[in-house]
Amino acid sequence: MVRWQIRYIRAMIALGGFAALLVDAGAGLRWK
Amino acid sequence: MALVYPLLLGLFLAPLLGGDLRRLADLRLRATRLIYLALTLQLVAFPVGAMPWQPSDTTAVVLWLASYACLAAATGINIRLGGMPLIAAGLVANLAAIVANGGHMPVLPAAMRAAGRSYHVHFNSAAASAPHLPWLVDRWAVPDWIPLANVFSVGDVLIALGGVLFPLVATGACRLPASRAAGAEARLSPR
Repeated sequence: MVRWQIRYIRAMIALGGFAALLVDAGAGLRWK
Repeated sequence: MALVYPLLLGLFLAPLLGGDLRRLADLRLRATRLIYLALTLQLVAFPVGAMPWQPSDTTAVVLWLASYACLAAATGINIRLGGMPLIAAGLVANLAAIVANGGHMPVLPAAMRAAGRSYHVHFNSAAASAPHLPWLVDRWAVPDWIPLANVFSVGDVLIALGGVLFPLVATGACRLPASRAAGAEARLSPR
């Protein structure tokens, strides 16, 4: 795997984790 | 789910404001296991789609509060990242409203009408015309023509602002006082 692909995957992992944090934290928006 | 929109907005604005999206690869979000554990707990508490279980209301509330404990810990561990203090403040505001009102997030009738919804208790949300801590409950609504729109609270607004700020700071489009100080420290420290 080339370097830019590794960096892309790292960025997606961080953003995915942050997106999960956002949707979980919103008590009013997620499960209704 | 609608809280993904602020993150997408921040990612869209970042390059327009001089940020470099490549810097996202240098981002180190810690305690991601706690975040995904919180997600799993919420899915168990509030099954969606064809998930074949239905926990009691008490069980769901306990699981939901446990997920909030995981999220609070993860937010605290990552508190130095841009936007995280806002998200932490939003979490505290939402949690205060939930705990003060017996484990459900109250929603004011006007907000529910504006969102085009009607229910007494639905998963983590409960209609209430006179809740405790009324300024912290779900009191506004996103118009129902917007996909995933719903009612929202002050805490949700803080979380959304944190969601916009996070990619702006992570890409260098926006510099906070703390990150400037950290940058100066990094430049001064010997390698």
